Amino acid sequence: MPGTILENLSGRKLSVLVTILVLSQLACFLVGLISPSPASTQSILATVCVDDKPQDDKLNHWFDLGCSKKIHLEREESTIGLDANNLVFAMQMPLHGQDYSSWQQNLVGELQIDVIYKEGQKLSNPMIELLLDARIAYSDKTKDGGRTPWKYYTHSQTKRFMDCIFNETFVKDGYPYDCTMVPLFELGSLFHDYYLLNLRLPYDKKKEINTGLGRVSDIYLHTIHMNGGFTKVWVSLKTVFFPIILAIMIWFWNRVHSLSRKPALLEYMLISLGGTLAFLDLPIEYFTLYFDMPYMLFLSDIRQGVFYAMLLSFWLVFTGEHMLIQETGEKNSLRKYWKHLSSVAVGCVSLLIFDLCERGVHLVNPFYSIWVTPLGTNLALTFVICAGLSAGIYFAFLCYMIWRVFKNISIKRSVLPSMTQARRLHYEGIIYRFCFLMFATLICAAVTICSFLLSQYVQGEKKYDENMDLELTSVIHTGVYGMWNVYICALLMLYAPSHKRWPSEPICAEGEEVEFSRLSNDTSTPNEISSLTSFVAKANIE
Amino acid sequence: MFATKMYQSNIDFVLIYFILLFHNVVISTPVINIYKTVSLSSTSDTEGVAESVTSGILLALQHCQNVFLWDKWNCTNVEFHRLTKSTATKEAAFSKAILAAAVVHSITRDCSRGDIQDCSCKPVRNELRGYNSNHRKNIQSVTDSTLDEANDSNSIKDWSWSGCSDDTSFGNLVAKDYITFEDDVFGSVGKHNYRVGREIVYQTMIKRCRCHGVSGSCSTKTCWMQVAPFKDVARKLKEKYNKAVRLSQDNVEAAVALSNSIKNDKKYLPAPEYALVYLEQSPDYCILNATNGWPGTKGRTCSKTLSEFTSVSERKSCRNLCRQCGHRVKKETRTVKKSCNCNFQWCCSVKCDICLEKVERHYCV
Repeated sequence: MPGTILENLSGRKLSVLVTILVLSQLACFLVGLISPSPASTQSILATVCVDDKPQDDKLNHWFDLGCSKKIHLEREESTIGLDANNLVFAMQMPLHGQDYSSWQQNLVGELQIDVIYKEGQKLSNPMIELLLDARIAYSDKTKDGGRTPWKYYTHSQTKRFMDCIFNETFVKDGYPYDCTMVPLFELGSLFHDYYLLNLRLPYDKKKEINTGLGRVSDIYLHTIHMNGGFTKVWVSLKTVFFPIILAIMIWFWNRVHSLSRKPALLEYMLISLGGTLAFLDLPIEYFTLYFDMPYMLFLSDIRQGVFYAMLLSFWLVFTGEHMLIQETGEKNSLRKYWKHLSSVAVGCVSLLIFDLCERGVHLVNPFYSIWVTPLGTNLALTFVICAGLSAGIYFAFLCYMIWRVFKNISIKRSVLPSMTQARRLHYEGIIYRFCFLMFATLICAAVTICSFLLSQYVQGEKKYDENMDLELTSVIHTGVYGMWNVYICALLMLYAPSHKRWPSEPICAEGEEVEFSRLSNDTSTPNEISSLTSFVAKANIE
Repeated sequence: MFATKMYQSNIDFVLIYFILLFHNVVISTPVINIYKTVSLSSTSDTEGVAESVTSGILLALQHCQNVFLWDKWNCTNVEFHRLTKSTATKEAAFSKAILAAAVVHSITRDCSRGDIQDCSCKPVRNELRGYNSNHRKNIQSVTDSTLDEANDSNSIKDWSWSGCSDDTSFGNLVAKDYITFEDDVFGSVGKHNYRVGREIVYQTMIKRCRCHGVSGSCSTKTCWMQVAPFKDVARKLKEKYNKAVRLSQDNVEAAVALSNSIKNDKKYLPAPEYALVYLEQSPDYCILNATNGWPGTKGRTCSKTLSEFTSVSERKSCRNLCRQCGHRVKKETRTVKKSCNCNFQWCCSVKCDICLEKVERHYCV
C-alpha cells in the first residue's frame, strides 16, 4: 500500500507547496487591508410622538419623524396631561437620508434609556424591570425616488432589565443616572431599505408594569450592521476558496478510490472535514441580495459550528491514528473513538440548543432574549457551562493523547540508530514531517487565539481621535479565516494517498533531495495509511 | 431668501438671539452665518441648526451656573454672554469653551435624532480637527464638494461600503464655523479656548461595546463612542478652568506674528494644547461693578451643609463668598412648603405630599 503524499514528496516540492500556502495565507491578510471594519454603528435618538388614541391600537398605524405631534421630554410642561400610553418613541433607521443595502447583512439594536434624577424622586430599585412594546415596520425606495408607505414587519411585548447607578457625589436635579444598555433586537436580514421602530413603555400600576421606571429624558437606539465593504471582501474570499476546496476534495477522493483498498478512517475524516469547510465556504450570501433570508445569522452559526465540530473530531482521530500502537487486523472505525468524540458531541449539541433558543427563536421574534427570565437564564447558563466543560475535557484529552504520541515516537526514535542509514533517514523524515504538521496545527491554533485576544484589545483601546484608517479587526478576521482554509487544503493535499511506486531499495542521495522510499514488507497491517504506523508495526516485529 | 439677510459677525448673532430669547421674543427664522460655509440642503435644516445652536447656548449657560454655584463668579446670564465676547479673563476662557462644547453637543444630539438631514457622514474629521489658520477655506472646499452630484453619490457608496459611525463632525463643523475671530491677540486666545471646548466633547466621550459574533459571543465585538452627558463635559471644563494658563500679551503677539509669517497651521499659542488660556487678571468679583452690571457677592447664598457628598467648593462657600469679601454670614431660618414623599408615575405625573420644612439659609451681608 502506498503512503501519503506527505512522505513521498521530495523536500523541494514540499517547500514549493509550503511557500505557495504561506503566500496565499499572506494574501488573505492583505485582502483584509482593503476592507473596512466588519461592522458600523449608528446611534439614533428617539423622536417622541404623541399618540392621541392609544385605545384603538392598530398595528398598521406608524409614527415616524414626520409625526404630527412631537414633544420633548426634558420640557416637563409639554408632557402635562399625557399618559405613558400616549408616548411613542419613533426611531427611523438609518439616519442622514441613507438607506440600507442588502450587503449590510444584519442589524442589531441596543437600547439606551437615559433616566434622570429628580429631587425627591429617587429610584426605589436600581434594577428596573421594563416592559417594552416594540414594533418594526419597513419601507422601500420607489423608482421615482420616493418611499413606499410603512409596512408591518414584526412586533412584540418583551421584558428587559436595566441597572441604574447614581454617582452621589454630584447629585443635581436633572442629572442622568448611569444605566446599562438593553439589548433589543437582532434582524437576520436587511432586505428592505428603511426600517422604523415604534417603541412604547406602557404603564400599569395594578399589573406592576414599568412601575420602577424614573423620569426618562432620552431613548437612544444604537444600531449595529455589517459593513457592505466587509461583506464584499468576505464573500469574495469565499467565492475564491469554494471552488478550490471543491477541486481538492474531488482530486483527493479520486486518489483514494483508485486504490485497491477501502478508504481508511482518516481518509473519511479528511473528506468530511473538506466537506464541512466547503459548506462553510459556500457563498450563499449572494442570495441575500435577491431574497429576504432572515435565517442567515442562524445558518452561519450552524455552518461554523459544524465546521468546528468536525475539525475538533478530526484532531482527535488524527492523533489516535498515530498512536503507534496497532491492534493488528482490526479495522479502525469511528466506534473506537466514541468516548473521545462524545465530549465534542456534548459540547456542540449544547451550543446548538443554546443557539436554537436564542437565534432560532429570533426567526419568529427578533426581540426575544433567553436571558430575561430566570428560567431562561439558568437554562442558557447550563448549556454554556456544559459546552465549556466539554471543551475543557476535550482539550485535556487531546493534550494527553498528543503527549502519548510524542512519548511513543521518542521510544521508537531510540531504536533508530540500530537501523541502516537509508531506513533511518526515511523514518526520521517521516517523524519530522509528522511533527511539522503538529507544529502547523499548533501555530494555527496559537495564531487564532492571539488574534482573538488582539482584536479584543484593539476594540478595547480604540480611541476616537486615533487615525482609524487601518482596520486591524478585518485584517484579523480575513487572515484567520484564510488560515483555516489553507490549513485544511494543505491537510487534504498532503494526506492524500500517494501513487508513487518506489523500488524496494531506496536510491539514496543526500540532503534535501532524498526521495523517501517505502518499506518493502508493509503487508502486515493493510489498513493503515501512513508508513509511520507501518514503521511502528515493523519495529514491533523487530 | 435667507441668504439675503446675513449678519456680519456670528457673535452678533449669538447676542441678538440671546437677547431676543431672554425677552421672550419669538423669532421665526433666525439667520446665521452658517450659510456662507456649511451648505445646508433645505431651509428646514437651517432652522434646525439655528434651534439646535440656541438650545446649545442654554445648555452651556445652565451648566455653567451649575458648576460655578459656590464660586464668587457664578456665571449669571449677563456675565455669561458678556464674556463670550472679546474679553480674555479666566472666566471668559471658560465661558467660550463651554459655549463651543455645548454647541457641538447640542448639534450632535439633534443629528442623531434625524432632525438635521445634513449631518456629516463623510470622513472629514481630520480636516475639522486641530486648528489651522485657513480652516475656513478648507471647510469651504469640503462643503463645496458636498454640493457636487458626483461626490454625493460617492458618499452614498461610502455608506454602503464602510458605514457611518461618526456623528460629531457636523457639530464640530457648526461650532467651529459659527464663531468668527479677529486676527488679533484676543482673537487667537478666544480661538484657542473655543477649540479646547470642542476637544473636551471628544475627550469625555463614552465608549460602548456590543458583542455580536457566533451565537452572540464576543468573536466579533463592535465598539463606538458616544457623547457623554453634558454635566461630565462641564465638570471636565471646570477642572480645566482651575488649571488655566495665563499668558502675557507680548508672548501671544509674538506667537501670532510668527505663525502668520511661516504659515504654521498647527497650534501657535505658547501654551499646552488642551489647557484654557487667558491674558487678563480677573476683576475682583467681591465688589459691585456698575459698568459690567456685576452685582458683587453681597446677598449671595452660601452653604453650610455637611455630608459626605458635599463638594469642596460648597464646603468652603461661606468663607469664600462672604468672609473673603469682607461680608458677614447671616443665618436665616424659614419654614417652607416642600414637596415630599413623591410618587412618580411614568411617564408624566408626580404625586407628592406637601410638607413643612425648616430651612436654614446662609447668605452674605
